Amino acid sequence: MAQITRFDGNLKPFADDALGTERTVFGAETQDDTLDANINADFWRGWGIVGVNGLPTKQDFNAFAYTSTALTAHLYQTGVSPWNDEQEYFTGSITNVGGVLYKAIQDNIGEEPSADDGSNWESITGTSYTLPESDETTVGGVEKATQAEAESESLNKNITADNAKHTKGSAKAWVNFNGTGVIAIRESYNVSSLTDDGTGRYRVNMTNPLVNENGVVLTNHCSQNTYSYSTSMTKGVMNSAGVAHVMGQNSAANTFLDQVYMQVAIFGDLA
Amino acid sequence: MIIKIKRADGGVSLMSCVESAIVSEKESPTKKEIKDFVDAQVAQSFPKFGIDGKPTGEVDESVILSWSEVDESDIPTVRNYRDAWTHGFEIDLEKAKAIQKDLIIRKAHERVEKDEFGVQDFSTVKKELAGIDFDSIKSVDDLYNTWADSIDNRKDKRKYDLKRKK
Repeated sequence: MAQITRFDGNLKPFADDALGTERTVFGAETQDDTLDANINADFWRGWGIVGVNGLPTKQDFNAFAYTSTALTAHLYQTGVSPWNDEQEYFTGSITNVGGVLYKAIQDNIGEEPSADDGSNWESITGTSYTLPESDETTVGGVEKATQAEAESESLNKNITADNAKHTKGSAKAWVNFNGTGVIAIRESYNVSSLTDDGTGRYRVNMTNPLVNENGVVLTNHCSQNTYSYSTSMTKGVMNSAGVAHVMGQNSAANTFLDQVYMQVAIFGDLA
Repeated sequence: MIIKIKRADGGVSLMSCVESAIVSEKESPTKKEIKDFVDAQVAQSFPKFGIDGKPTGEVDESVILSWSEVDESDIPTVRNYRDAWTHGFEIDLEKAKAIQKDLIIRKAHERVEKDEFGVQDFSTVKKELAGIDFDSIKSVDDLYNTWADSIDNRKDKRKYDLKRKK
C-alpha cells in the first residue's frame, strides 16, 4: 500500500456539517457533538440496537461515521491523545500530558505520568522543567552544579539562578558610588558597607567574602557622566578576603583625589 | 545608616551601611541585631591580623578607637581638607597645611596638562610655594586663601565653609 498523503485542510468528522437532527447520537433521537455523548452503551453494542428485520436510520449511520471519524480528527488535532485515568495503556503506549510525551514502560491504568516515580512511564520528549527549589540538587533530571563544580566549569552540570554567581567569570561584588560630598552608594551587589577613609580612599566590605585575599579588584572612575578628559586614575586591592581597598588619585601630582563616579568590581571564588 | 569611626591617628572614617544587607534576614531588625551588624562590619573593615596574616575577626584597636552612628546632616559636604578632619569634624590645621601644599602642586600640574603652564612656570610655582610662611597661618580661612600667586592671585578673601552646598 502506498503512503497515504495527509488531507490538505482541517480534518473534521463525517457529517460534521449535518443540519438539525440529520445526525443524532447513535441509537437516540437527540443531537450532540461531543464524543462523551456519542460513545454510549448503544455505540458499544453496535447494530444490535436494530431489530432483526429492522433498518438502521440515516441518523444512526451519520452518528456511527461521525463518532468514528471524530476520533481520527481528535488525533489530528492533538498528535498524541492526552492521558486519561480510565484508559488502558500497554507497554510502549505513548500519551501526552501538557505537551510532554510519555512512553509506558509497563501496562497500567490510572497512573498519572507526570507524577509517576518512573515505574510506569518515562518521559520521551519535550520535557517541561520546573524551576528547582534552592535545596534541590537536580534540574530536569540533570544534576545541579555545586559551588565547586560551577567554579571549575564542570561539564553536564546545570547552572541555575542561584549558583550562576559561582562561575569564574562572574563578578562576586560590585559597587558604583559617589566619592564626593557625603559618600553615597548608587548601586551595589554583595556589598554590605562602604567606608570613606579620606580623600580618594575607600574600603568596600563584601557581604559574602571571597575564599581568600587573592581576588581581583577592578576599578574605574569618572568625574562626570559625559565624555571627559582626565589624568586621574584609580587603584584597588584586596586587603583581606572580604575587604577591598580602593583609591582615586591624580596621577600627575601623585595625590589622592575624590571622584564623582567610582566603580569597583571584585572577582574571585566566594568562600 | 552612616557610622563615624574614630581612628587612632586622630582622623575619622565614615562607613555607609547597605540597608538591604542589614535587613536581609528580617525586615525589622532589632537594635541589637543592627549593633551586631555594624560591629561585624567594622571588624571586617579594620581587621586585626594574626601572625598567620589572616584576620582574627577582631577590630584592630591600634587603628580604631570607637564607632557610633552619625546623622548625615552632621557630616561636612566640602572635602577640601578631608584628610584633616578630626573626630568632631573640625579641621586639624597642621594636616590641612600639608593638604594645601599638595593642592597647590596639583593645580600647577593641571595647568601643565592643559598647556597653560610650561616647565618654567612650574618652577615658579614651586619657588612661590617655598616662599609661603605656612607657620604664620593660624586659621583654616587663612589657609584656604593661601595660594602661589602664579596659581591664584586674587585678593578677595573667601571663607571656608564645611557645609557649603556644592
